[in-house]
Amino acid sequence: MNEWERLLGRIDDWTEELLLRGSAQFAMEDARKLEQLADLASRLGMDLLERLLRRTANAGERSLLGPGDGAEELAGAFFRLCGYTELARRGGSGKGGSVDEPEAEPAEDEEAWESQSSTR
Amino acid sequence: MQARFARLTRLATEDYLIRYANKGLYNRAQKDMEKGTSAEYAFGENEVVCTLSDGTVCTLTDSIERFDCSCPSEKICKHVLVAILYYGQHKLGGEGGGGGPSTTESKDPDRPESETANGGEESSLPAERALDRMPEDSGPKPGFGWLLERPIEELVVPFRHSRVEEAAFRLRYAEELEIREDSLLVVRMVRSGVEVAFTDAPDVSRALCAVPGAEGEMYRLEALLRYRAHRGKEDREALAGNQPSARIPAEILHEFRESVNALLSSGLARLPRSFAVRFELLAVAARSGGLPNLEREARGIHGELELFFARHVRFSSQALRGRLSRTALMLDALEKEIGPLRHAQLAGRFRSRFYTVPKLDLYALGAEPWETRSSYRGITYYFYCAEDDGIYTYTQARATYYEGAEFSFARHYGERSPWKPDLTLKTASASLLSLRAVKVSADGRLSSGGSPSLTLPLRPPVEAFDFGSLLAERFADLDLGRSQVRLFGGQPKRLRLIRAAAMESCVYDQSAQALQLTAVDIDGERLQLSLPYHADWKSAITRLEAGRGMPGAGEFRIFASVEEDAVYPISFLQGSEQISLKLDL
Repeated sequence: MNEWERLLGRIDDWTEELLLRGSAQFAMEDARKLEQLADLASRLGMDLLERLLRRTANAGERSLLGPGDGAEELAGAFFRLCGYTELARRGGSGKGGSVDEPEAEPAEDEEAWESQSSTR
Repeated sequence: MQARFARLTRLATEDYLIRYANKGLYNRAQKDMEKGTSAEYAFGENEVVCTLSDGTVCTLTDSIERFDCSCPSEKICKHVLVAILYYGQHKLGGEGGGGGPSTTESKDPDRPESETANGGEESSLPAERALDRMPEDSGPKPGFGWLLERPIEELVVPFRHSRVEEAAFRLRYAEELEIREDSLLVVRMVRSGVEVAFTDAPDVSRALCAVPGAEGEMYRLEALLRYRAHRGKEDREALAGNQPSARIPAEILHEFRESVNALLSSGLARLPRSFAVRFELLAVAARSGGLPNLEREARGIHGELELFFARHVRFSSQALRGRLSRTALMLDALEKEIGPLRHAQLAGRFRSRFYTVPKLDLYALGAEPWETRSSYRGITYYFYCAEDDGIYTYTQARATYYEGAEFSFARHYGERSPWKPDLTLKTASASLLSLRAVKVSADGRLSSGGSPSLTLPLRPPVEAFDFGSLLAERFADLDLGRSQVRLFGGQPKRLRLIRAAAMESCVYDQSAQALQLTAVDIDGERLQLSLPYHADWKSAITRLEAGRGMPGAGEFRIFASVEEDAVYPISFLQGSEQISLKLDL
């Protein structure tokens, strides 16, 4: 496993853990960890990832100052970070299959759909 | 009024009158006049009272659509036709009998203004155009510029959105147009066999078409779109932006965002169970708000949360995170100005929307059974259509996660096909299907509904059929390792028909739990194919390993799904022989 994959793995671990814990529990420790990961990303030349990581760290710190719109900013940054890692995983060597199962949905009758739809 | 009425009679060619009425009425009107029926005219400011020699009185105007008649008929009657024809033949000054065409005129295949390839027509046409015969002072000539000049969003306003969508869908399939411009602009769609005649009134809903009801509406729209495309107008972007889903209710987006953020803030460990229900309700709201992609993600989140609360082994934090971030990013984008086409792409399409395609010829390529993480089982049948170089599928599927539900691949494979009772799906999966009036979704899925007709022409051997871009002549053409990365809407499947010279080896790999086959192409290059283990096709794996089920000596074709991590074969084809690996062995 190379450095890039290791970095992605560590970001994955952090986002998974924060989702479990809740972003309202964001702590200075998290900001520190994110800054460390940002440094790593910068070393690997991953500018966008570095920006996303620092943005998340800053938003998290701001949310610590008091309740308010800091939380929304943190959510936005957090999901962008998750989106990035998901795309990176799919485009890379990992088997990043989507959990969407296109054929799994039962095909519905067009007429049934038309009667359900309330719009003209 | 006299001048305006005179203009109408000049425009009222045989074609024109037949479209507004019908051939029978026209012929009866002609017969009446031959028998000597005549008419007297009294012109008012806005109407003309015509008294026929048989006593009938009709009141006409400068438009054939507005009239009144003393006879009991509610719709246009032969008296109206007689009133118009008689004036044209006997009362127009300076041209003799040039106004309405008589039945003695001969056909002239040379038609300078019409854009048509063939000269012969079943309906008789006037030798000269009415337009060419109109004197300078007879009032404005009919103008059809509105068909091209008005924006498409304006023109489709009288129609239901679903009709417009269906008409736009049909433009994918080639059609030959024959266009004639006279007192009406007639667009003939040769393959459908339908004609639509546009009047000079800028209203598509007033165009004339012999097909009644909703279907007729759809043909009017299709003719309009094809005509515009033929004359160089690109309408796709405007039509995509015209969808109801483009007007997204802000409250739904707000609610979604609130819920996603609240979930993140609270964290899974402390999440109240009510959240699962919350996302189920959001899914319903997304559906009625015309946001299929958002609906799918919401249902997915609901499902994952249920798994989480039940401490189910199938719960995946990664999957949930993926859904949440896709939802959050989708919400961001939907709130921005990204253009109607991308908006529509983001909102997604309801999978259940099916459209009727007049004619579809499909070369079957095999069938594949599958089972998903969420315990759905099914079989997908694959077909190739040469006309649009596309893959079509038919799928049988069932949820098997509840008590008593099961799906036997073998049993469903042998079931009757939905299009022809004496044709099993197994046989269909190795045939050439010629379907008429079949229902198809935007992503190429065949419906089991509707009432299509099916014939089974002889299927040419696989080497003799043109598979367009589906065929890869050599392994180097496969573009392995490069995949199309998309965040929204699921990963596209890359299906290819691969030409191979021989099968070199077939070994079961214990660590990968898959059968690895190695094929060689005409350049001597090697390709590894992977058939993962599954209890339902373990006998197939055993047989292949023992060398059975392999194609005979010489070249053969592999129909496979080319994915990021491996190439997964679905079937082998050689000559007229075909084996679907997981089902036929």
